[in-house]
Amino acid sequence: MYSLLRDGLPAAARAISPAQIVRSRAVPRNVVMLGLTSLFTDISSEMVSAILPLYLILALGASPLVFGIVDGIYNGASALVRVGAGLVADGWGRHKQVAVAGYGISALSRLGLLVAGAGWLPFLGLIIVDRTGKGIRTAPRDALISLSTRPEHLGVAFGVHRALDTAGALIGPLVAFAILIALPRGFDLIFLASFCAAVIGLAILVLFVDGRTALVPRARLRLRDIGRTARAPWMLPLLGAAALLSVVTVSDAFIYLLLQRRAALAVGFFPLLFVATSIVYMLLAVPAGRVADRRGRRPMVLAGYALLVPLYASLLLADAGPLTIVAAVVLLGAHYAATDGVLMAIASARIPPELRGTGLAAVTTVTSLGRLVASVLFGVAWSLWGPEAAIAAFAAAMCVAIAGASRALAAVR
Amino acid sequence: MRARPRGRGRAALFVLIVLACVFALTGYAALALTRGDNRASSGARAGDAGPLTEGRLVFLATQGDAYRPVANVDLTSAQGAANVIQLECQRIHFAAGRGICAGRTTLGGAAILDTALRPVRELPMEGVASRARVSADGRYAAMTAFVRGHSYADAGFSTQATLIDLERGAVIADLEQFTLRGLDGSTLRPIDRNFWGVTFAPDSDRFFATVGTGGSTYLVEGRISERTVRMLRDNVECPSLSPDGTRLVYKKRLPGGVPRLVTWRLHVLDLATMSDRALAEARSVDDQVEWVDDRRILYSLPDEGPPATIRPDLWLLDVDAGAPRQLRTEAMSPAVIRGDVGR
Repeated sequence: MYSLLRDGLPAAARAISPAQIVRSRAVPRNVVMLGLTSLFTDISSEMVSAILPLYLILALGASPLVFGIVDGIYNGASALVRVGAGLVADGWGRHKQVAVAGYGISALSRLGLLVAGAGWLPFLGLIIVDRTGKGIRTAPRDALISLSTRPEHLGVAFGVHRALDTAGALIGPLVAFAILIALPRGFDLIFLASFCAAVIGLAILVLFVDGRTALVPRARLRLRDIGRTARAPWMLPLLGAAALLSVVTVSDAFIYLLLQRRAALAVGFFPLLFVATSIVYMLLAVPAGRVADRRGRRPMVLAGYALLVPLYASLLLADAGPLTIVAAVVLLGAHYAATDGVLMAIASARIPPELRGTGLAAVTTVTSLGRLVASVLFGVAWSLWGPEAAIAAFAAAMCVAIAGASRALAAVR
Repeated sequence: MRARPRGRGRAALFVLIVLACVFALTGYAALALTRGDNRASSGARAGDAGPLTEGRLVFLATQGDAYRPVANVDLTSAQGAANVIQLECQRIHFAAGRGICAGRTTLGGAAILDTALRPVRELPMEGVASRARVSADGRYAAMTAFVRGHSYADAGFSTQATLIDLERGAVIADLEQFTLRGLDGSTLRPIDRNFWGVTFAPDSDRFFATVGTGGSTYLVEGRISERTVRMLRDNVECPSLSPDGTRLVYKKRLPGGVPRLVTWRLHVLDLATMSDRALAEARSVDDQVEWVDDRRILYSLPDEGPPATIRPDLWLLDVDAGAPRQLRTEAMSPAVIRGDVGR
């Protein structure tokens, strides 16, 4: 009993105290600062995306069809530039400068929103600019996180970053709706607040993130290196595992939709489901990263995807109560905590430093493309066979994918 | 050794940036509050709608932004000064002494209105209100809202069309809960179905609406008592039934193009022959029209400028002859008072 208290509990307690982790220097200052940059940037972007439909339809008089197009751009545009930005950052060897450009472009687009005035076409243009900025910054930022961290602490470093990032995504919509409740037509105040948050995020990056980290390679990037890395024996298994796991993952929108139908929730509960999932993700990201660093990242990622199997099973229950909803939300949040940052840690440990940005961009791009394909597949399966059969098929496919990814990720190490 | 003062300088610069942001934000918020963004609560007179007799036009007086106070004016002198009341809706409709106010605030909510346009019952409504309609006898109402995060893939939009029993003051159903029959009569259950733009027949139990599924739109005819809707024909959006119940004016989607991406052309459909033809309105109309009588319709269009703005203007068109004529500027969501209102 005594030994359990001494060895078990304090270790567990440490695992959930981010402050202690920061002090223990497992997570360098750079990572915390990059996390804070993301926190403020996410406050900025989520403020705008939360009110996007309201603003387009109510203030700009756009038709919902236009909103569909804008939404598609919002979700798709950043993926296109991501790998390119990774290559530029790697080739130049200056991840921080490329990240600053990305964050800066997004901040400027907020200023544009404030002065754009009527008409949704300039608005559409600014959304594309903003998303391009996001695409540019993602890869060099992830590269900076990984290059600033000792390999044995990569999991917890990405955990800290993702926790702060998620906190921003939670705060943003709250601020936006608080402004709209106080000032029903306060869209310009929201854009100003969004611009301010973006500037603060950018200032943290420029002033407090050290771009000259000793670990950043000085060597010039050559085409031969890219070819050699692309053909490396671990590259295909890494990307294959990412693709395999994401292509059998049911999108959150469907999960929330099914939960809502099962439990007869009002549509108004949708944002709450998102908030609850994000809170679980935020709380578990750091402990999951820490445990992954100590007990193995591959089992953590696989376990994270395995959590989706009981989640899908719970969606098949005939009558779902509040308990089912809580369980589903906890499983989904834990899934993100166990997989998102940890997979980046696995990739970072393997991708050579001089190609870190490009490699990490490739992994995230494959993952988001996989999720897009999964959305389409699930929609088709739902239309053909109905929701129960579609969920059951994805649950079965997930089991197969986990087995496959387990073998593939073993080859990555 | 040099690192310390420089670090301090950076911290000072950061504090300066944060302070500038806080200053700008509070200043702007204070300005917005004093300038009276809540114009309804300051200024406008207390909710007296005046007599809503035959020939009055109820509408939303707006420059196109989210500030849309309810107003009414005589149809015969529609350009004149309107009676603006202290009620805001994102969309309104009114008939036979009952009204529906969809979108009480930018965040949602709806209300049933009495003969004097006073809210008598609040109703839940999620999302952005887009259409509202009251049956000619004032028995039922329907409203459509755009809902996000409810859609089948992440991109795109969903609509939610709700039927309301104005006598009981309660929601009857979301149209997605009704049985949907296809063009061949078979029961359909597409996951991506969306309903919008309800219009009621003179008996008020029967109604028409649009259903969208798989990238196509269809005209549906339904009955509240049977909780069923069935498809009649494709490419029909936001139908509006003439008071005599014989014709539908609707918007037909045409291939888009820059800068509008989507073009809708107003058409009229004869329900007896099911033949349709385009109306003499060449511009793209994204509205559910309102019938003045059995020949003339009202709809709003954004001001084409130059310079083009989002200010909606009301246009009047004879379905059978003539060209559109501007009836009033800064007006949308028209409802024409027909027959006796006194109930």
